[in-house]
Amino acid sequence: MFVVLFVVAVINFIIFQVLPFTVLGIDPKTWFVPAGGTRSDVYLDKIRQEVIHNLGLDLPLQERFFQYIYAMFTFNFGYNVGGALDGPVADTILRFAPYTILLLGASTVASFIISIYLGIFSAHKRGKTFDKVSLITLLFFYAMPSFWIGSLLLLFFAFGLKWSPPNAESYFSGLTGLDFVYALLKAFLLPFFSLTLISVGGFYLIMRSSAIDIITEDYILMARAKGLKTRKILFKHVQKNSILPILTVFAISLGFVLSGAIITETIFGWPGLGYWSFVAIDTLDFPFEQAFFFIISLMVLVANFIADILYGIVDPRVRTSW
Amino acid sequence: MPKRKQSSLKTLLKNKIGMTGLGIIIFFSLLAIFAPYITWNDPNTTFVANPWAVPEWATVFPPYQGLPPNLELTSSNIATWNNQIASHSLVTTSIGTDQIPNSLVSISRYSSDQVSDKYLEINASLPATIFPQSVVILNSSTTFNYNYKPPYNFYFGVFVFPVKVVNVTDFYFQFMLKNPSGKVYKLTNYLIMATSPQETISYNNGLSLNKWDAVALNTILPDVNVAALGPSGAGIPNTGLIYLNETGQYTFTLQLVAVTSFNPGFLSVKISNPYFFVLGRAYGLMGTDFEGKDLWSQFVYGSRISMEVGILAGVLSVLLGAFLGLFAGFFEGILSEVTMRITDIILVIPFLPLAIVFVTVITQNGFLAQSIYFWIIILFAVLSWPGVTRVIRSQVLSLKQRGYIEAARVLGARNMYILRRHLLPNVMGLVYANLALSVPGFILTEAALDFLFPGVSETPTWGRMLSMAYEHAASATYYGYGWWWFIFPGIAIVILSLSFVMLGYALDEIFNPRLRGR
Repeated sequence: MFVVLFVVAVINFIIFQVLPFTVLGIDPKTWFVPAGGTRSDVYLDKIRQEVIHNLGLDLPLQERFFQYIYAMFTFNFGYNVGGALDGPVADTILRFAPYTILLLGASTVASFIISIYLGIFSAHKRGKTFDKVSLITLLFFYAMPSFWIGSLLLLFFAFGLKWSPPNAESYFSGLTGLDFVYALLKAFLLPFFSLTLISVGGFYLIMRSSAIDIITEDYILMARAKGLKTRKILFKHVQKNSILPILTVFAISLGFVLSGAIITETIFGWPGLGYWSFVAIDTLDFPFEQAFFFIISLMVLVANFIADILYGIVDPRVRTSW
Repeated sequence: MPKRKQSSLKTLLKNKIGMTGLGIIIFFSLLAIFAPYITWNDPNTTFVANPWAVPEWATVFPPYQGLPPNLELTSSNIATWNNQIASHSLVTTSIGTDQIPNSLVSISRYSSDQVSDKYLEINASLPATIFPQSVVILNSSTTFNYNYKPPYNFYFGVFVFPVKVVNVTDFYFQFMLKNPSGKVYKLTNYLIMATSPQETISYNNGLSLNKWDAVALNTILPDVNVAALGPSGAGIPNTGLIYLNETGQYTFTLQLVAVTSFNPGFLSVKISNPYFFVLGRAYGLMGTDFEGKDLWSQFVYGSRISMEVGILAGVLSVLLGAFLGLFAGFFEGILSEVTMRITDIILVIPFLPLAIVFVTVITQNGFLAQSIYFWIIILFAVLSWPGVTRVIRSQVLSLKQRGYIEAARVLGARNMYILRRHLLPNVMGLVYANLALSVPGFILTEAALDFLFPGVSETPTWGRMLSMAYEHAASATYYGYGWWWFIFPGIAIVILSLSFVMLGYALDEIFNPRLRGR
């Protein structure tokens, strides 16, 4: 795991340090406009020099590399540049992460629950109308680009019906207390709904196929022959066994879920990490981006690890083979 | 071999889902290939109709009923107009024919086959006056019926060829519109038009001797609006709503006016192809965008990039993945071990964020930014071969254990021979299936990148269309938020992606029943 993380850090280094400055020839001196861009040139130059020094851009490549790796693994991400964000990168990430965690967590739980129940029901009624309708609908959602779902929802509910604000951030920024919570929830609904729709399709397809596999097993027939109620069969025997693949897939797809979050957050102006990473890349805020990247990769790795453990808990057979 | 191939092709032909997918793919391929022949406008031409025009078929629905399409309301043949000579001066007219230069045709919004080669030649002797005096020489008018809701904008004008101008202070054109209830609107005003830097309307302001020129006016440029409506009308958008707000018979009049000087003057002018053109509020199959660009044409040309990026990236990544998978499965050693570790790492890297960063970094360099889609294809291929490698490798590992491979080996077959004759044919089905299944991801990601970075290229794509639609939706309250702009590119992305998924599943079913599990 550490090896993988190390390689990710190396790739990061190549993307954010070697590629722009060495290969493409971006001049570090004119690379970004610091915050407070209206001040005098001398002042700007001083800030630029400071940032260049902090990032080690004045060092030879190999020295910069070691400095970089050391900084990454001690979570010392440096300072934001570019003017969209200010202050230490670690602070900004900690500030915006809760929004992303709230959004991703809620929508993941929701899409999990929906896809599990729908998947099992579809498998149970496979070939019937219910199965066909839900399969086609969810396949459609599965193939829908996240930005299209997002903008359609925005069109209908924010612009058309005015149920929800078109830009989340400006809607609840500056509010405090209960007002803030209320505004947050109101702005939360659309991105939540949109992200849930995006991820439910994929989970559902896997859930359905694994549930079909289980339902056709002999022990389900046996349970039915025993006279067990259908509900009990579905939610005791089938659910427990067919939930396994979805866990692994979730761990693998966490990176993709985060990607979906970038677009969704950008569309709705939800001020999470995805939104800010998109804003930051516009101003070439490489320190923020490399930290964001590193953290995503770390999270995917951790999620893989957790999925392995969860697998053991849900499926005792795996534990014995450890 | 050939026999087996044929039988799998037959199974595919019988597979309904696979054939539906294939049909849709072929449909979009045809769109992409024949794009220039099935569109009527360049995708970047502005004002092919009024901005925010709805699709023409939408006019069957009540809120859009009666919206005007693009309308050429008057005849281009000047001979069919009612040409009246002013009685008080010595004027003669005659009809002739001449070739109109092509460059004028696009200005007038006539298509080249609509342009008439008939012209009207006017020869007028003007009296000498102490003070310059405007004299109407010619009064050409025509009538038309207008039975739609009012348009937002219209174009009007005439082609003119000054032959001889002697002792004339200036001459110019005046346009008037009389609505069914008898009210006459003066569409132009000499005082403003003669000094306008944008419009050519008078001899002193841009017309040159012995050359066909166009006097071209429209209600989109503000000086026409203000001139026509007078001080009270300043700032009114969509003047068409005022001028053409009734249904019935309108009279459109074009006047040639000369300004006399203190010597007896002589004026000889040819005029041709007068026009009055209403910019449609309903246009084409998919309407227009906020600049009046044809969305159907953008849609058709957009299919090119989607197909190109999707298929090329798919082919590249699957080729690379299949090649590495074959070798990593067949030759077990350090190299194949390294390959598999690389797949582990690449699978951890988040795809879209990396692509976003990549596009940003690439566009910092003007030279690389020109071939942005080439780099996107390369990036997609590099980032997505590992999945294919894993599937192919597991297939090869299982095939290797089969008896017939052992038998071939015992018979003295070399590694390359076994690879080529025994393994490759058995893996090909999986390769096709993977190809079809990997394409939708690329199409979606490419569209997402275009959505996020609409500015990196001028090429119309579905992602870029959606991006522009999203950007302008907030300001389009009046136009139903431009729903027609949102719906079609999105549906196309979904359908095209789904068709590849369908084809992929069908191929998967045919070639390989039980190897897709991770």
